[in-house]
Amino acid sequence: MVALLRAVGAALLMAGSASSVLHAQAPAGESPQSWLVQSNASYVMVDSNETGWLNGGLGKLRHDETDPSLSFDRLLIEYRGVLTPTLLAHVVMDYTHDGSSGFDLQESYLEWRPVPRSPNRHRFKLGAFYPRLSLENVASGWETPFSISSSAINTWIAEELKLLGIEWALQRRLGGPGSPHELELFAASYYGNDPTGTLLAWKGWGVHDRQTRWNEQLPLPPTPQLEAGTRLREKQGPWAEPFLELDHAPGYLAGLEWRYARRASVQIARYDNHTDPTVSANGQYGWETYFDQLALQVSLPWNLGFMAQWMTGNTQMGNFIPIFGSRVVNNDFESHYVLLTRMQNGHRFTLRYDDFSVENLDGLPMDDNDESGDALTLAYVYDYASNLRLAVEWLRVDSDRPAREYFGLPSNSTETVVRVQLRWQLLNHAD
Amino acid sequence: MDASNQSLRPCACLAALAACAGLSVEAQPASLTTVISDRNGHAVEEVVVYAIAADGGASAPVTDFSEPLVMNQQSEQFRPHILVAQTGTTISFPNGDTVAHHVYSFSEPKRFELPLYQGTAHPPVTFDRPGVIDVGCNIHDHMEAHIVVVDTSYFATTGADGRAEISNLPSGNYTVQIYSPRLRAADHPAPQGIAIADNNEALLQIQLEARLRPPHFSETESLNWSRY
Repeated sequence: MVALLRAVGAALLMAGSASSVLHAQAPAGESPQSWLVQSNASYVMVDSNETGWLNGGLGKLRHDETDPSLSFDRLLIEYRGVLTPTLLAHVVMDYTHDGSSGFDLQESYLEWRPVPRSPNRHRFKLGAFYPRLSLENVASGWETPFSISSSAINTWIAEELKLLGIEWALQRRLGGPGSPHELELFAASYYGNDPTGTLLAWKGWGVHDRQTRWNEQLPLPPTPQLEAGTRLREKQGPWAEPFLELDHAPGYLAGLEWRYARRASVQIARYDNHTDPTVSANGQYGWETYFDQLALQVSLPWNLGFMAQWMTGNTQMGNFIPIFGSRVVNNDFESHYVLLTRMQNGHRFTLRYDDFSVENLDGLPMDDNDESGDALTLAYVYDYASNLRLAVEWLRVDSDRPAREYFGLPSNSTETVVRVQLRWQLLNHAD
Repeated sequence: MDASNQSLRPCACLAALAACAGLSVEAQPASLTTVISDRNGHAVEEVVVYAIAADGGASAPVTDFSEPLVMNQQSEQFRPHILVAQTGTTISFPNGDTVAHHVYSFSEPKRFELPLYQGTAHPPVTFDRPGVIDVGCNIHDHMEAHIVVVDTSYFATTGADGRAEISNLPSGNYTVQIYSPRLRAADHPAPQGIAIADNNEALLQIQLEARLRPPHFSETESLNWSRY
C-alpha cells in the first residue's frame, strides 16, 4: 500500500511535470498551473503536565513543555496543474519538524470537472485526498483560515482520515438560475483507512494543527495493554499508521449538503470504512469505524460568521469476546464545536468551543479509553500581505482520561498553549 | 428569458397595473429614470431596466458594436455581476486574477465556453439572441453572473440608489420591463407602458411587491463557502 501511494504521488507529480512542459509550448494565457511554497513557524508557550501525543503521551496539544519554543510547523508545497481544461492535478506535500517520514505526501489526486451542459454539475476526484467534511479547513494545504489549530473533529480527520479512491459530487441549483438554493450530493468509495480509529481509541481526541502524512507512523501511548509482551502487541506495533489497507474491502462516505446563497449551509454525512475488525497486518489492526456528521454554517449580522460540526460514531477492533459482550476494543465517540468568527479589513477574530468524548464499551482490562473534555480557542489572524499571515492563538484544553492514571498522573488535565505563528508564502507562482 | 419574454400588453391595461403597483409617471421626455425599491421602500441595486418602443420604430439599433462590452473576473467574482446588452453585442471576459478561470454558459440563448485561461486569451463572444444568459466558472463554482440581452438599445442598470437612467430616448410609446435574478420569473412586475414626449424627463417608480432573494455576493464575508 505504501508503495502504491508513493506510486500515485509520483505519477501525479510526473503528470504535473508533463503538463508543465505541454503548457510551456501553449499560447500565452492558457497555462494555469501554479506552485505554492509556504512556511509555517511559530513561537510556542505551553503550560501542561502532559507528555504531548507526538512524544508518545496523552497530551491533547501538538506541543508539550519539553518541545522547543520555536517550532518549525510546516513547509508546504502545493502543486496545481492542468492536464486538460477539465482535468486537473493536485499534489500537496509537506515537511514538519515533528514528522517521522521526512518530506511526505499529504494529498495527490486528479480532479475532473466536466463543463456543465445542464443545471447539474458533476465533479470527480481520483487519488488520495481528504474527505469533504471540514468547514474549517478550506485554505491551501487543508489549513484553517480561522485560527492556528483545528477543532477536535477536524484535528481527528487530519490525524486519521484520508481517502484513497474516487469521489463524485453532484451539485444542482434548485429553483432555476438566480435561486439561492443549491443542493450537493457526494459519495466516495475508497481504500486505505483500515486502522482509522487507532489513535482516537488509544490516544483520544486532540486539538492542534498537525496533519498526518501518507507514509507516517505516529506514536501510541504505552498504556499497559500496549506495552511489549501483551497479546495486543503480538500484532500491534507501538505506533499508528492510519492509511493502510488491510482487508482489501472499500469503505464509503456519502453526504448531502444544502446551501442558501452564501448565507447558510447544512451538511449531513456518513462515513464507514467498512473494515474487517479481525484483520491485522504490518503491525496494525483493522478498526471498523463509522460516524455521522452534521455541519452547519451561517452568516450572521455585523459580519459575524457561525459554524458548527457535530460528529458521533463508533470504532472497534478484534474478535468478539463473549465475556466483554463486545469486540476486544469497542468505543463510541462524539464531538462537536461551535465557532464564531469576524473578518474585517484583514483582521480576523475567532472564538471556538469544542466538546469531545469517548465512551469505552468493552471489558478489556487496563485499557480504559474513556475520555471527556472541552476546549476553548481564541484566535487573532492578520493578513499582513497576500503572502504573509500573522496568527496569535490562545487554546485551553480540559480533559479527563482515566488512562492517565496508568502513568501515575491525575486523570484530569488542563493544557494551555499560546502560539504566535507566521505563515509565509515563499512562492505563489502561476505560469 | 424569464420576464423579458412576457408578452407586451395594451397601455391602458398597463396604466391600471401601474397604479396598482404604486407606479407614478411624470410625463417628461428625452430621458427615463426608473427608481426601483423593495417592498420596504429600500433601493434595489443591479436591476436591469429596458424600454422597448411600442411601435418598434424607436428602438432601432443605435449601439456602437465596434467595441465589446466587458465582464471582468476579479477576486474570483464576475464584475459586473449583471450586464445588459443589445442583441448582437460582443462581450469580452478578461481574467484579471492570477488564477485561471473557465467561463461557460449552458443557457439556451447562448451556449458558450472559454476554456481555462488567464488574461485575454479568448476573443469576445457575440450574443445574438435575446434572453438571460447565466454565466459560471467551471473551476470556481461560486462564481456566477447574468447577461441580459435585449432587443433594444435603451437600457440601464440600477445603482446603489436604485436609480437607472435611460437617456437619449426618442419620443414615443414604450413598454418598460425589468429583470433581476433576485426575483423569481413569476415575481417580475408586468411590463409598464409609458409615453415619452420630446425634451422631457420621465420618472418611473416601481416598488417590488415580491420578496427579494438575497444578493449573490457580499464584499464582507467572514466565512468561506468553498469546500476544500
